[in-house]
Amino acid sequence: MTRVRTLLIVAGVAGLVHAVLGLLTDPDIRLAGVLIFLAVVLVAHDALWMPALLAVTTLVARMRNRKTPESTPGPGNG
Amino acid sequence: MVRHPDAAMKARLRRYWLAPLPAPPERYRRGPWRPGFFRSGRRSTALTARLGLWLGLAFGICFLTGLLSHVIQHPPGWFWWPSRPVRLYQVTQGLHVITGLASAPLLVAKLWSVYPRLFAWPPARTVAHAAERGAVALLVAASLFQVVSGILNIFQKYGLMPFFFTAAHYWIGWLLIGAMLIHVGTRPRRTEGLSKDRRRLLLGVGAAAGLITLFTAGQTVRPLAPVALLAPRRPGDGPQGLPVNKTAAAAGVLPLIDDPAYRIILAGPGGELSLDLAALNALPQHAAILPIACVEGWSSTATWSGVRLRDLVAMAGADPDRAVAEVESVQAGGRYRTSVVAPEHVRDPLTLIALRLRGEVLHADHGYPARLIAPNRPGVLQTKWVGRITVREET
Repeated sequence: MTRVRTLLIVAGVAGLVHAVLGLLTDPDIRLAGVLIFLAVVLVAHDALWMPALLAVTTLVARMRNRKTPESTPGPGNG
Repeated sequence: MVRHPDAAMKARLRRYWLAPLPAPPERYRRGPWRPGFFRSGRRSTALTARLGLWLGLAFGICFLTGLLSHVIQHPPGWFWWPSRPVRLYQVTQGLHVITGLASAPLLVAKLWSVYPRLFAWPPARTVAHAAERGAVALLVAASLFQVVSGILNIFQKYGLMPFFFTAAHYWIGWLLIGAMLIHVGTRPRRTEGLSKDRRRLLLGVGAAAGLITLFTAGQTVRPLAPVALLAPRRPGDGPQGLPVNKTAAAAGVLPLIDDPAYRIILAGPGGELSLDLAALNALPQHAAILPIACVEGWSSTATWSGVRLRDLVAMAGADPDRAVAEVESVQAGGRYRTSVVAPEHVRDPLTLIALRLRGEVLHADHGYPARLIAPNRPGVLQTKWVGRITVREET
């Protein structure tokens, strides 16, 4: 492992520790609200947004391939 | 041979860290977990690495400009912020918001490029693999948190965020930058080239980021205002041609500012003075062309006129070159009802207690009867509806 990589990891861990301490001690932080929002955006992205995006792009690609039958075999899921 | 206890402990930890975990039964390997489910030929590690580089640069700019904005608003003892150039904060915060918005399509594309890895089988090969996946989940959640909450904030959709935006955006910013640095430090280096197809895709993502920038930058770059189709506010919006974030009605100050008994209390080493609007208008008046630069990224420049803060500080019996002024609003509450003006800004002749905007008496939403306007400060620190100024000399 190069020295730069070690430095990046050490700086990253320091950033994470600083963030966690801040989240736990800042009186302006509503921790439950922050954690719920973190979970909601992650689940909404992975389980709703991305499947919807892949479904739309797959559909568009299939329609395009149907119009041009000489083209290469159509793509599958996203 | 006797092994050193530290070496033995290290070996035991290493074994635990890399020990294979039991795989779930194969019958559960369905849907996106099936091999070959994702068949798009456009994904590649080289594409992911390039998207990651762009996104990392965008997040780096956002982090540094956001950190700067935070310390300007909550200055630690060591921090010093100049009053010139007058547009410096306008540039750094405009950059923060424009870069944050441009990072949205980069993030979408980056996450698309690695989406199949979410369905890796087995889900966790070793404890190390599980920890790595947890760290990636944290990075993804923090990235989405920052981009989504930032967009909700500039569109003022506070009801959708179950937390105080400013504090949460700041701390999750640290979480994001920490997780990102670890991610960069542990990723293998990729040097392969890109196929024509993938280059085209990368160009498309870059174009989307460019268009978002073009359609929003007009909220702070005046020549681009006519095409600021995605910007929530444009420089000419609002009363007297200037946008407003908090109206007088929302701040609950209308009865107080319309009261004939309205006064500014000026307190300092020389005692306390009570100045009504006529007394303020009778003092030497000065004009300054200054921007209101909001933390939400929009800004608008106008000609303000009124009394120099340094003149008021001198009236309060303090030396304007080394005085601090605490400017309070008549607002009963609110996080931004008070702001502290540091000596750099107090002594600057452009710092005014403004009574007029573009030659007209201030609109109530812009802080009538009197507001603070100083160069190179965030809009939230330009206190409106000023009711009291407390001056003290720095020792």
